[in-house]
Amino acid sequence: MANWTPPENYLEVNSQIEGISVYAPRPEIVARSDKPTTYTCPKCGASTKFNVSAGGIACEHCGYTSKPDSITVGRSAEELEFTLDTLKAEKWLKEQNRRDLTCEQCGAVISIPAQSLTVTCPFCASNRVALHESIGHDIKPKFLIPFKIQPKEVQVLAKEWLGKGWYHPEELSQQARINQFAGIYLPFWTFDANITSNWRAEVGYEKQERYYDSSSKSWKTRTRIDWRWESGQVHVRIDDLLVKGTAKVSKIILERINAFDMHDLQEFDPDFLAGWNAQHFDVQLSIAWEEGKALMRETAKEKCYQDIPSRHVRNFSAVADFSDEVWRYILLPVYISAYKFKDETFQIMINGQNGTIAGQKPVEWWKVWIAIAGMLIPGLGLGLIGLPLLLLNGLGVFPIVLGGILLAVGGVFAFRLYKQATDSEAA
Amino acid sequence: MTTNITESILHETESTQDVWGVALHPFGCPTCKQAFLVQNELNKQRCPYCAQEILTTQSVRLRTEPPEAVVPYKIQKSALKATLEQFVADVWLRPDDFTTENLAQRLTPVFLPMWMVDSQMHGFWEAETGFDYEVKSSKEAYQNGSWISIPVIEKRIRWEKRMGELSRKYNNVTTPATSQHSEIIEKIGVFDLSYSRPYHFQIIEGIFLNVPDQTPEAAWPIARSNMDRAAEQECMKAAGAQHIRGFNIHAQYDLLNWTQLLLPVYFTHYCDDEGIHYPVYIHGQTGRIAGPQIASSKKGWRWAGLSIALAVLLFLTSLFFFAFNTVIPGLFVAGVVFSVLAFGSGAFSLIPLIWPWQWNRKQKERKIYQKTVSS
Repeated sequence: MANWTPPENYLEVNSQIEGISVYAPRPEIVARSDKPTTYTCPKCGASTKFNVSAGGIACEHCGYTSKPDSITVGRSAEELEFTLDTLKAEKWLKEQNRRDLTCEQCGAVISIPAQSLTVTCPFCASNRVALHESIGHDIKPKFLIPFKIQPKEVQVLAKEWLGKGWYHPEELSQQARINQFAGIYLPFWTFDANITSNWRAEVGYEKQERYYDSSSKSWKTRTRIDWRWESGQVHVRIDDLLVKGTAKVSKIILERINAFDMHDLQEFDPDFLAGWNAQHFDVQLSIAWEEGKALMRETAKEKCYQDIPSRHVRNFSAVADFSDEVWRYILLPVYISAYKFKDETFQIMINGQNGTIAGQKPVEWWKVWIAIAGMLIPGLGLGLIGLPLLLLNGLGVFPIVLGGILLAVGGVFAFRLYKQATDSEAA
Repeated sequence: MTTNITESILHETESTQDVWGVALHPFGCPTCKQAFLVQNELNKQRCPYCAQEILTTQSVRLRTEPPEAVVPYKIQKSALKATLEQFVADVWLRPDDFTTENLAQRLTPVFLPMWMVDSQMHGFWEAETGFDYEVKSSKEAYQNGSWISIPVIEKRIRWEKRMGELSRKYNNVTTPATSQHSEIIEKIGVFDLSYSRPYHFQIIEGIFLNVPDQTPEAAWPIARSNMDRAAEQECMKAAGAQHIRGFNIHAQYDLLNWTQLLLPVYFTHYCDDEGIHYPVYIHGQTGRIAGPQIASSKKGWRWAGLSIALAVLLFLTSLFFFAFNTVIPGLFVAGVVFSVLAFGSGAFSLIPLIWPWQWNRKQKERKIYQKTVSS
């Protein structure tokens, strides 16, 4: 029999039986993204970084550009299972605090926080992108959405946004001193799952019945509810539920801008991060999954309620069985800044993909209270007019009813306004 | 493939002493062509396999591959009474010959041969190997307004390609040595070969030896397939995997050595009303019994005849009661009762007529009756 030679892309691995050799596919060559990369211009040697308008690495000095070797994968981006090995690996990562990187350009040793994926050398200003080299393959960001909003646009967007809203100070957009916006790739987890939810509840059905009212000596109609136990099953598919992977930015503000379009997901390439800030996750996968799961099970519960053909429900119970749970670790582009107004600091964030902006804005509460008073006074006034009329000869019924309606409507609008005002200050 | 089986056939004129360690007499069945070796001369012994004919002394092509191991009988003849009783009791209207006593009396112990082959295997293999891994899943229960998480750990398989070279010796790979082997094993079940012990001529005393009708050349494809399967399991273990699929091996098989393994079976038989004999097999280790359980149509007719005669008698009696009703008024009621009984008896006569036919049809569906008759 002819001598056998293994294919080139196969590597001999340990065999547990003498006389049998075992070859396995050679592991993927350590990707470029796993090695610390220093970005310097191959033409003039100056420091380079990712330029949004050029869509790739660009040198500001000589005009050199280079596109990242990455394709758009969108929502079909690979997803991973919750293997016990992965969960162990993320625990390891959590225990790391800082790490040292040696600058290839000037040789300086730079100590950076474990969560930083990029660094600019303070000695030679060269940009570096460095993932953890020793952590498990699965726990690295494999996909990202690149910045599409250019840095020069964000100041304009912020100014416009500050000028909006009648209950904020009129001089806000003119007097606010906005700091430089920092473009940063923030870590996010996406989760998918299928949920089969079996519910059981007592469901009440309204029934009209006639009865004889002995006090009025007449036949009347009343509604009775017949309760009976029912059960059912619903299937829910959750796709790309986004949960933030960092606790270092305002959750409230981030939630207002996190409407990212996942169709723009691209394979990770360190070129995208060159010259930009990027953070590793500090909210562990298992913790983020608990948060995601809580949202998913509430969705499943709502679906169960929708499955019940009545609005009268009691003793509701359900079991949500999760299957095909998968996750992705991705980086999403956000501009973060703060501005000062009357000695107070307010946060502001912009979605780097679509320009959605959110943040804290000071509120001139006297405007809000006047508006709330304006909403409530008509109803109260009519009620006050109606009361003495009612006492006099019963003519006050109409103004009292109308006043009640106006008060209820005014109350709803007043509450909404109050909430909007408090939300705009919250961080 | 190199082998030592060339010209390894003995003829009746040559002695069996060298191979078996004891002199044996060859017998054969003219119907099913199976051959047997027995220590003593036989007196009108029916063929254990097909039970159709008396075994005769005849020229038999004997094999020189020596017996290497024997699986001894675990269940003795005396312990089979209950098994046979149950086997017979399953049939309501059975042929007269189909009795526990007859089956017990005709029990014949036979060693079924299997080939055992040793080989040195060289080659290269490839397969998809499966590695178990654990995944954390969830089950969430909502009750009394709050959620309770129930963690679930699921086991899944990750499939990866593996390949390599193999140079291993495989000993005692078994393969059927008779054409009837698979059919019998299908009926009575497999043997636990871990109980096998080295062959000694004293073990075969008083036991029929079934002579292989499959040559090693004919048995080789199955033996090779079994050897490949053994290699497949070893390759899986070598890769540290828990599962394997798509196994493909290109190998050379050297130093083939063929020997025999003997498996313990009891054969017995009975005949139906027409005198057709049906063999019954019993596993020598487990006592599992298999064979056709034929019902007797003749007995069915007999029962039906009796039932009809009783019906006629009851009917005539009822007529008598109706006729004398005018003399003794109470006889009308007795007449009605007897008429009903007559009708019942007549209807009952259909059961023994139909039941044997239905029962035997089911036996055919179980592919027992048909195969045995054809053999």
